[in-house]
This record gives sequence, structure tokens and C-alpha cells, in this order.
Amino acid sequence: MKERSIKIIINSDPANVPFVGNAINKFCLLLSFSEKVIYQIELSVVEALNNCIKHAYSNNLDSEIEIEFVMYSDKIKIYISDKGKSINKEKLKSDFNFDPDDIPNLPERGMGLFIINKVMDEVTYKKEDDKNILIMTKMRS
Amino acid sequence: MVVLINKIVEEKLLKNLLILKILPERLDLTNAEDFKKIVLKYIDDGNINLVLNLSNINFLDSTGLGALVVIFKRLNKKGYFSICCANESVTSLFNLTRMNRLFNIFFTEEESIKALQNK
Repeated sequence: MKERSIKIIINSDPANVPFVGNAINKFCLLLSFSEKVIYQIELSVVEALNNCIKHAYSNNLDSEIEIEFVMYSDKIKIYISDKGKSINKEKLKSDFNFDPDDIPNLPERGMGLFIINKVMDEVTYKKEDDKNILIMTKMRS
Repeated sequence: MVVLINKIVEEKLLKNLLILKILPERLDLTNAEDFKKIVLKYIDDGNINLVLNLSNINFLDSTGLGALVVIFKRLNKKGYFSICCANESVTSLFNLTRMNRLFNIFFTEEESIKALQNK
């Protein structure tokens, strides 16, 4: 049963991301997740928004991102929608491997989707009309 | 830009060791690039033994983590780099991305300093 939902629309400006991060953080408190899990959910939302800004909108600050948090008795679902360039399907499930001894080639970026997949219980991505929608689900343990 | 430096890190010099405490509560897309440039400038100025104190940080994203990797790469073999005082949440990001295999991570600043002295 859907219990409560919040919708936020922001411009694709990095300065707006912490506000959404704080909002999801407070929203998760209602579901009594642990502090660490709340951080990881906030992190997933921030990573998804960063990806929208950097990749979907190529750092254009004036495009629109819609975020919806939906709370259920047993889980939280987060919808993040943009109208920019879609994510390449192969990238969605890409792993993040590196050799800690190969110092020159240590990765400095490209960790966002890996983190989201690692933290969330379910991650789906779809295109609906002109919208790309990332849907992340975290179960209450 | 001295003002910017003062806003992002607070420096403490102990003989040949520089301790930089990150001042904001968040290290993310909004400030990671500035943070990285400032720390790399310290390194290029000859501070090759560095402890980053993360006690103020309650939110680190992959952009902030990427900045730490760049700093690690710059200091590797040339000097000493360690991280201290990360909270449980931030530590969970190091573990999640397996960056804990790279960094010297300590609970306290004292442990970080001692590790260099024992090197």
C-alpha cells in the first residue's frame, strides 16, 4: 500500500542536488532505516542526479529533473526522470573493477551506477515518451 | 584565492607532515573539484606527507571519492597519504567501492600520525 509520496522538480544545477539529498534523508527517517542505510539511499539519489546533470544534460544547468519518493509499508521507491540523453543499457549493469596495484589506471569516475546497483534492491530504467525514468527500490529489512 | 582555501580545508603542519581537515559537511559535485585543486597545490608545493581529516564530513559522493583517488595517485610512491576520522557512513562508501584496499584509513588523527612515524 502506498503510504506517502513527495515530488520535487529541480533545475539541473549541482547546487540543487544537496537539497534533494537532505529531503530523501529526512524522508527515510520515517521508515526507520539505519543511519548508514539512509546515507546510502541519499548517496544513490545524489549519484542518479549527478548522472542526469553530467550525462543526460551535458552540464546544462537549466534543464528539468523530476524526483519522486514513494513510501510503502515495506519499502521506498524513488523515481528520477529527465528529458535528456538516455543511459546506454550496457552501462546500467556495468561492474566496477580495478586493480589496486595498477596505480596509473585507478578509476577516478564512473562509480555512480555501480554504487546505485550495489545499494538498491531493485534498479530499473525505462523510456516513456520523451522521459528517461530511473526507478530505485530499497526494501525495509 | 585564500578565502576559498580557508573555506574548504584547515591546515596544521607537524614537522614534515601536513594535516588537512576538510571543513564542509559535504564533499560532492558542488565542491570536489575546488577541493582537489587546493590539495594538489599543497602537494605540488612540497607537502608530500599528508593526512586528510574527514571528521566534519557527513556526506561523500563518488565525485568526492574520485578527488581522494586523484590525491592518492599524486602522492603514491612520492610520499605518505592517509585518511582519518571518517564516520561509519563514509567508511561504508570506501568498502562498497573497495577503495578501502587503496587508502590507509585510521580512526583517529593520532593513529595516522603514528603510522607515518613508524614507516
